[in-house]
Amino acid sequence: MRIMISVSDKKTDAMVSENFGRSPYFAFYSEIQNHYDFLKNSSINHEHGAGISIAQLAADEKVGAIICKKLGPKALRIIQESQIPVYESPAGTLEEVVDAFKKGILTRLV
Amino acid sequence: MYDIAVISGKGGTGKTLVATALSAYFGWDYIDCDVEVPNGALLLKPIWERSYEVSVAVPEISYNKCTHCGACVGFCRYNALALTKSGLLFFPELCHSCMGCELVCETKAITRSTRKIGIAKQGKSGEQIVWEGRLDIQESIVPPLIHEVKALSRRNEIRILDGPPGVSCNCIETLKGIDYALLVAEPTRFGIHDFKATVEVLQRLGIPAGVVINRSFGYEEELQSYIARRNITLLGTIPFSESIARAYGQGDLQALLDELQSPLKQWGSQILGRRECGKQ
Repeated sequence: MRIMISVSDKKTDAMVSENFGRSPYFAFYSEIQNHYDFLKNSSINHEHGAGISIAQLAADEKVGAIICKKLGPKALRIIQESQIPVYESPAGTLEEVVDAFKKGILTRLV
Repeated sequence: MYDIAVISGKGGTGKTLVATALSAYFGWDYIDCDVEVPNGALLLKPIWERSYEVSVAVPEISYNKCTHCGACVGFCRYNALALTKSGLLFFPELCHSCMGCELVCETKAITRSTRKIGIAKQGKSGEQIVWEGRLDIQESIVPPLIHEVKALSRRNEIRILDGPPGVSCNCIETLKGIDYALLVAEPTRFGIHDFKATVEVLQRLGIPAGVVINRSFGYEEELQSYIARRNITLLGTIPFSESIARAYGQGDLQALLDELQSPLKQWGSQILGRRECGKQ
């Protein structure tokens, strides 16, 4: 399964970012390969609908789960309709949060 | 026909005060283009005569014809469409009515429909013509409504367009095709900052402008030297006065006209003088 996490930088000790749609970067963590890929958010400066385009990205990438702190209502609708589970991130680095996810201690939002 | 738009950058500097008083004094048409919060009518108290619904184009999706190809989603610059497992999603509040989605849809699953975003209405305050655009609650697409109220109110007379705050699309739509911009400046930090942004926009659009400084204490060197540097006409000032604030707060137009009679007359004739120069 691949997990999508909103992060402030393209490194494994980056903090999980406060917003989903306007997060500077996204990490895609592959559980099988235990490997991180990073993607710069090209929608960050969209005047409207940044969350929508990122939610569409998650749907297109067929990620198995999303970990983030906050998700807007429009992005949420797309995520729900795409049946992707969303987990609430505690404060922490990317690696810490992914570890917590693997231990099954993150709260599922959707 | 001569269009004067009253704009300011910062909100609450006195656009509506100047626009209603000036238009009422000269009997010019008053057009409320601040469609998110139109309030000129609170002072002008028109008797409304006509009302028009204003709509924008939106896609209508035939879900049985949609093949989930995603062409429309890829085309939309405003992220108004999304494709999910359960099908196409449309977010009307983000749609800018370009109808590109209809063009790129190969199965003709998207057709053109309309959605009401507000109303434009016309009334009379005595002999004065008053127009107002009023956006529906929860709507966020503003420029088409401003465009429509400007088009509907067009006639061969002088019009005062009471503009929205800011210098975003809503302000630009108000400024399109106008002859003169009347800036209302406020001598505060925030006021000066936004005033400069507004002047930048006007100079880039090549629109001649004059300034009225509202809530003047009589010592606004920074504002005045900036105005002089940018070659804008300083038409005059409105003093920071309790009686003006009280008259405005009570919606008492007559009291405002009594207070501001001579400056209004002077500003109006300066603007009209410019218009005569422009004709030659």
